[in-house]
Amino acid sequence: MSVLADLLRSAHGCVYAYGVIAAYLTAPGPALDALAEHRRIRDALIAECQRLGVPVPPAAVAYALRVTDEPSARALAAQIENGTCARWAAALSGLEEGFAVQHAAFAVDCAVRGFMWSGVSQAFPH
Amino acid sequence: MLQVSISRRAVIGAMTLGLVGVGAVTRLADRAPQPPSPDDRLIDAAVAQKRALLASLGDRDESTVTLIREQELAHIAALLDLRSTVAADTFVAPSPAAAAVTHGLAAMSGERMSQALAAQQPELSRILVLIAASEAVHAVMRG
Repeated sequence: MSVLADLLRSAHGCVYAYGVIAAYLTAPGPALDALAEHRRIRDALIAECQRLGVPVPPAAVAYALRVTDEPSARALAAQIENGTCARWAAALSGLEEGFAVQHAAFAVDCAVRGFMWSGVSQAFPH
Repeated sequence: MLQVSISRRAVIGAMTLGLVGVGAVTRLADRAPQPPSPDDRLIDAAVAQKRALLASLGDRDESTVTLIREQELAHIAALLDLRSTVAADTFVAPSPAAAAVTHGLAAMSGERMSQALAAQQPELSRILVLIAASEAVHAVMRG
C-alpha cells in the first residue's frame, strides 16, 4: 500500500507547512483550522497504515518552503490545498473502500480551502 | 458432364453467397448497440447533469457564470474522453425536467463523490473526484 505511505508523507509536509504559514498571517485562524484538519488526516493515515501493517513513513526533520511574507504564505496554502486535492483524487481508487468512503470528502474540502486562499477556481485542481 | 459443371458452379456460388452473408451478419452484430459499461453509465449521468447545469446557466455573462460554464465544458470533455463506446456527438441536450433536477451544486458534488467511489477505472475515479471538488468550489463562488 504505497498509496497510503505516499499520502502520509504528503500529510506530514502539509502539517509542517501550515505551522509556518500560520506564523506569517495577521489572522491565522483559517490556517490553524486547516492545520487541525491536516493533522486529523495524518493521524487517520497513520492508523490505517498500522492496521494494514504498512510501514509508517516518518516526517522529515524540515521541509524547504518559500515563505517570506503574508502573500507568499497564502500562495503556499493554496498550492498545498490544490495539490492535496489532486493527490487524493488520484489515490482514492487505490485505497480500501471503507477508508476511501470515510475520507473522500477531504479532497473536496481541500479544493474549497484552496479557493479560499487564492480566490482562483480550477476546473481540475492540481 | 454439362449438368455436373453447372452443379459445381451452383455449389461454389452458394458457398460464396453464404460467406458473404455470414460476413454481413457479423458486421451487423459489431454495429449493434452494446449495453453501456457501469463506468459509461456513470459518465452518462455526470454528463447529463452537467448539460442540465449549463442549460440552467442560460446565456448570462457575469464573470462567475462564465467561469463556471467554461469549467463545466471542460468537465464534460474530460468525461467524454473516458467514455468507451459512444462518440461525443451522440449526446443530446438535457430536457427542462433534467435541468430542474440539477440546481443544487453542493448536492451534485456529493453525488459525484459517490459516483467516483463506484467507478471501476482509476482515471474516471480521479476525474470525478476533481469534478466534485470543482463543483464544491462553484457552490462557494455562487454563495
